[in-house]
Amino acid sequence: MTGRQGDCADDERAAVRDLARRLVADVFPSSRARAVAHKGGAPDAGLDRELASAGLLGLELPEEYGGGGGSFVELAVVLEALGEHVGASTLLSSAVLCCGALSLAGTGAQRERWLPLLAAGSVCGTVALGEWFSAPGARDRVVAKRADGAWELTGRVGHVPDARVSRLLLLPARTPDGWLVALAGSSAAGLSVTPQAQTDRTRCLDDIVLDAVGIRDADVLALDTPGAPDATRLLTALANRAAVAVAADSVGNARRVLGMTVGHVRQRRQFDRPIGSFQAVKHQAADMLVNLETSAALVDDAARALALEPSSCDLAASLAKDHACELAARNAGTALQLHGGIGYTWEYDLHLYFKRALLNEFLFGEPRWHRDRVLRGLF
Amino acid sequence: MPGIRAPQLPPDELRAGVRQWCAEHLPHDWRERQTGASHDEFIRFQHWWFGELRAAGYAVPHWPQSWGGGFDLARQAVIFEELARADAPRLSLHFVSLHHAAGTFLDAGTPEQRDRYPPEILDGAVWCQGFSEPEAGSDLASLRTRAERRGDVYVVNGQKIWASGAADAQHCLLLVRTDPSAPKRRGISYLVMDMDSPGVLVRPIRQITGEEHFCEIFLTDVRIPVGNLIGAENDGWRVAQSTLASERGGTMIELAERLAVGLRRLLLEAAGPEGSPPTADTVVGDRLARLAREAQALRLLVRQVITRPGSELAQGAHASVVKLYYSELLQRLTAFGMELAGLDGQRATRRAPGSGWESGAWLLDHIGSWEWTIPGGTSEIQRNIIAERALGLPREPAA
Ligand SMILES: Cc1cc2nc3c(=O)[nH]c(=O)nc-3n(C[C@H](O)[C@H](O)[C@H](O)COP(=O)(O)OP(=O)(O)OC[C@H]3O[C@@H](n4cnc5c(N)ncnc54)[C@H](O)[C@@H]3O)c2cc1C
Repeated sequence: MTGRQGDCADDERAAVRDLARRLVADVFPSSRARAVAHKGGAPDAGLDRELASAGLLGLELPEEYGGGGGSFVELAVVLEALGEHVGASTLLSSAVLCCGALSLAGTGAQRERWLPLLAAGSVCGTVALGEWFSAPGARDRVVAKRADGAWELTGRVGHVPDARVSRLLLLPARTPDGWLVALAGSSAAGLSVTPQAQTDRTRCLDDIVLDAVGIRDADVLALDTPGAPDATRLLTALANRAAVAVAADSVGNARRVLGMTVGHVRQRRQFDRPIGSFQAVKHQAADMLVNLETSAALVDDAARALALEPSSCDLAASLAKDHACELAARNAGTALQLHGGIGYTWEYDLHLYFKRALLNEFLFGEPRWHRDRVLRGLF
Repeated sequence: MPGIRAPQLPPDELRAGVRQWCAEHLPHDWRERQTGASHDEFIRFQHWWFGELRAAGYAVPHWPQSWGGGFDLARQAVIFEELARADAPRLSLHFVSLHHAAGTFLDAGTPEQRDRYPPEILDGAVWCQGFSEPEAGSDLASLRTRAERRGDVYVVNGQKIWASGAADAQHCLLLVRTDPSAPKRRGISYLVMDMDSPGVLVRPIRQITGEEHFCEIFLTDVRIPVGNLIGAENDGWRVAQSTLASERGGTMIELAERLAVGLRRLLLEAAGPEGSPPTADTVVGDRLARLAREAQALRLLVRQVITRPGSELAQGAHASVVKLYYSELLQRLTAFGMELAGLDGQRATRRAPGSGWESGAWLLDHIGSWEWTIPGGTSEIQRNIIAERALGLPREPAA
């Protein structure tokens, strides 16, 4: 397992983890998370600036674009650190999805134009992956039509992360031969973004409606042609990146939630003893740790697989997503229980984690979607 | 012959070698022949199979190279995985000698002990573990079997119980109390006892599966040379922790691979007409997908625990996480197998001794899964260890 390309040494990872944890904890204390939540969720621009100046937004990009020359393995570590603080950053939309797409499929010109801006955080980008994960017959659908030597996109897609602040939008659409992925500016004619409030107010997921949005060939990132499913391969890779990113967020979430819980049950006394000395409490805490450790193992494995072969690690990605996200949500529920009344109050941070964990379970592929992929991967 | 003493072979070549070796050496009908075999036939078969594995260099991949092993973790996994896939018998008779005894000597043995016992084990010596007593189960530290030092022997009196394989063993890893006045954990010593010593009486106990596998051991004025002490006198509790850690940690590579094979068996049983997968929308599909992710998590966790013992979890708690997760996952997996088999699965069947607990005789496999949630520290005790050592939660106040 050592020496794989895209593998990064444990101490290197630990260094990135320390940096990210410290930075996020400093610039994004829980009061900021609550502030984001109170405003109804827009990514925290200050946090993004700090991440960018620490080189974390471009961590995975080559140095020529102002990146850190790392791999998805390190990016996952930063995502986990953000998850520990329910960080409201555009790391997911911009670095994981948009940079990922451009790195995997962009032309030289497209990369040179956008990657340095994305790495510096001066432009935010996103990918409208929604339809990729939706069930057949769902109402999300974007269709690409050839007209006058260009493409024309029409339809709608929901749950696009950070669309409201993104200047650069990557839009998957269906063509007669499969898929196309187009690059569009947020001010393109016929394109409109509608913010959608979520119960988890630390993430923003928006709807995009496209009404005959014109795309020049130079702005096509990937296109399926008979025998060359380039766009499908790209979208598969992006779906895997999205899934593992959310799983990493859930691992961070679970780590922090366990820490909060342990802190609480050690200090809170009932019946003249710390409640953490009651076995009924202890055993639930032990199960939380087992859930966390198994999740971390799967996410670590998936991140490594992703760094190697982004479009052929479906099984590892779906195993990690399904396991980590479900168990983080379960852990957050257990934490709520073990906190008693205080955990159920708005002023206490736990609900931010609980809601984020619940959203993660459904974001970028509902459980059934990933379990189907697991089953297909096994047979 | 492929694979002989080849700890440095590239993993792919090693895999091909083990696979070919299995094809040539594993009797394809061993299950049929062993099902319903007499105890003596089982013992003979285990010794024979151990000899075969030893000749190929696959018996003790997890041991140090100077002891005849020396395979790194990835290669150990390859060997155990291929043996499990080929449906090879487990070395159940040798389980304690290969894992508990070896782990203990590696950690705390004197040079003489290390020179003597591992080669004997390779020659087939069988060991048992005499820890539990009728009044000392989960609270092992309250054990009362007494050892008094007289000159250069300990004279031992007391009783052990549930000792697996004791009727067939030549040696016993024995925990005794050498200082009754010291606090519970401080007065315990760790001895090697020859099972044919005068004063040792072994009585097999019939267990839930119908087999007579674990035993009572009665000890009356048994004389054990002082040189058989492992670790310092009264320091046996600490040594016992490394025995238990090897039971809860290292053995798990093999068990995790066996479990993954059990999952594959379930997949085959649940497959549609053309081997098509069930969908996640069905109960069967949903359960299978969950079990799959858990089986994979176990395999990764085991590798991680062994390669990165110093990571964020405190020592000792790691092994408990693995043991707890393995044993309870085994229970879920075999219960699901039983569900797929339905009422027909309840008809009396037998399974071959030496099968993994994922033999496909799901009812027996399921019953057998309690062999992991009880011994070596019950699931409740593992949860206590995890909560106290890894999470730093307060101990239960003494009653
Ligand atoms: C198949 C099998 C093979 C075995 N092989 C061996 C062997 O080779 N050598 C050997 O020495 N022993 C062996 N054992 C014994 C095994 O280690 C003990 O059975 C085990 O440690 C439990 O002890 P006990 O049976 O006395 O149960 P008890 O300790 O009485 O436990 C009964 C129940 O109470 C619970 N309990 C006890 N204390 C606590 C606590 N503090 N907190 C919460 N719950 C608690 C337990 O979890 C369990 O559910 C074997 C047992 C089995 C079943």
